[in-house]
This record gives sequence, structure tokens and C-alpha cells, in this order.
Amino acid sequence: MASAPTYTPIATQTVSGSTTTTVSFTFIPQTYTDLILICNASTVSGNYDIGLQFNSDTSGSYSFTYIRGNGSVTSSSRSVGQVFAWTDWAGYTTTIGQTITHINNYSNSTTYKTVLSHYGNLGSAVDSVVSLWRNTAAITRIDATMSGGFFASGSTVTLYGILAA
Amino acid sequence: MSLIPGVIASGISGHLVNNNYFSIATQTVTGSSVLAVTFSSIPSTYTHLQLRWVGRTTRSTTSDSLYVQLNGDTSYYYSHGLSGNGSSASAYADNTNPNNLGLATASSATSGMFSAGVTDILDYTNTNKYKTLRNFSGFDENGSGAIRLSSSANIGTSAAINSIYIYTNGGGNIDVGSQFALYGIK
Repeated sequence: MASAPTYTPIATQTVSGSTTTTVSFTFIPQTYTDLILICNASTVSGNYDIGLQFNSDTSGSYSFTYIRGNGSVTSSSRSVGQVFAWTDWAGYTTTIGQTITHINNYSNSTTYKTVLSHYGNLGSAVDSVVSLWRNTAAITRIDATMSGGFFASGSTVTLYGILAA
Repeated sequence: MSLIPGVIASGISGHLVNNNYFSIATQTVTGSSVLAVTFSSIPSTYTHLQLRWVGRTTRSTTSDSLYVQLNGDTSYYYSHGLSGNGSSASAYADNTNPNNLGLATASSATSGMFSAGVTDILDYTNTNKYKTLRNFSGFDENGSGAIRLSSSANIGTSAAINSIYIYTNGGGNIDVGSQFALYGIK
């Protein structure tokens, strides 16, 4: 019944310099059941969203629904026809956004992909997001892209794989 | 943009190397829908459990809920939750329904759309505590959808958990393509 340890690090990207807009994971192994992406990022300047694109799909085939608490009120909203699965918001310098994203059943080639993200930022809010990618392809590439600015040096993004028995 | 093939980049230092997370068992619904999914004889050799799933039911709606029984206990549980439906956020408390595991899409949703969820059951072998489930689940159907954070406690017994029984809100089965994977954490 039990198996070897899983929750295996696939790759880590640590940003250097101040001109990186996208952190990419390519040739993602298809040997796991779920992926977990942990992002710890801030921006060079300004506040921006971080979105995920799968398999370089930049069409409007993403949508998401989220719930938010900002210290004063709770809210919920959604967007459709998006060009990314929204997962994160990053702020300037010490306002680091921290996100854990669950991509369950990512290598399945018969279902759309539903992605869950928890996000927290000292300077703004805590969010939980569910995103849909209306594509049945197995996920082989993930691009984490900042919506407007640049990743600050030292920002990290790590991809893990979990293998079910 | 920097591109690093995953298998090459795995050599980069700084990974969280986790040798304490183990797959216990997986239930995948294939062929035809099922009334329930069961994990039985769960080993007591771990400290925590995590259940990860994608789910859809055959109920004639666009969404549904998945329920769970621990150790076959059919009594109701205390649960609290925070939900967002894309328009507003709401909180709820419930002690009149079975233990709610999380959200699922259902048969009126577009084919191929499934919910996703992650549930943590901490200290599941401790016999001096009631057991609390912490659930995170959601689905998006391109114009509708919901996300839910919830916790629920089985206050009827402090027994160690040795079985998990997952079923639907009523009127439907767990549909083909659903998958539930149980993990143990040392």
C-alpha cells in the first residue's frame, strides 16, 4: 500500500537581475499525478498580478473565480476570457506575495484543468482562487508571468511533483 | 525570459526536499459512475493525512457537494466555511448535514470540467482529540463557479481514523474521471 516518498522538487527558478517578466518551466515530466507550484515573489517597482499560462497557450481560454479578504471586507469576483490562470499578486520590495498553487491531475489528457491557489501578501490581501484552463492537453510547460512589471531579484518559483500510488 | 528544462534545473540547490510525504492509495472512477469511494485500512504509521482530488458527480445540476464519513460514522458534524461565488463572499455554519468535503462539478456542467480539492486531516491517529478536516476546493465553469474554504469536526468520537468514505450530496453518483488520492505525512 505505501510507496516511496513523493512531493518531489522538479525545478526551482531564482530570479536574478531586474528584467525578468516570465519564469518558465519546460519539459515538465509526465510522471507525476499532481503539480504544486510555490511562488515567493516581489516586483522591481509597482504592484502586479502573476498569472500562469500552460503549454504556451495565450488564447482567452482561462477563467477564474476568487474570494478575498483585505483586512476590512471579504469579496468574491470572477473573470472569463483571460489569457492566464490568475494565481498571485506581487508588490514592491518587502511586500512579497506568497502563493501555493495546486494543479491536480495535470497529465490527464481528457479533462479541462482546474487549478487551486492560496495567496497572501503582507501589504494587501489574502486570496483563494480557482482557475479553469479549457484545454484537455497534458500540461508540459508552465510560464509564470508578471502582468506588467518585472520580478525582483531573489524572487523564487519552485515546482514540485506528487505521485499517487 | 529564462528557460530551464525541469529535469536539468532539478539540480539547482535550495529545494525543499521532502522525504516524509507518501502515497497511501488512489481511487480513480473508470468505466461507470460509483455511489461512493472508500479508503479502508488506513495505516496508522503517519502523523497527518492529505486527500487530493478532482471531482464530478452525475447529479442533474451544474455543481454539487461531496460528503465524507470517517470510520463509518453517520452522525452529523460541526462545520464552518467561507465561500465565494464570483459575486459575493459568505460564511456559514452547519451542524445539520453530513461532513462536507468540498465542491464538485455535476452533469449539467460542460463535459470535461471537474472541481479540484485538497483536504488535510491533522493528527488523525491521536485518540485524545476530535478530528478536524480542513478543506480547500473549488470549480470554475467559465462564467460560473465557486470556491470554498471550510473546516469540520467530528465531535462524536476521538477514535483514530482508519477509513474514509466519500459520497455525493444526493441524487447522483461520483462520475467517471473523478480521482481521489490519499497521502500520509510522517
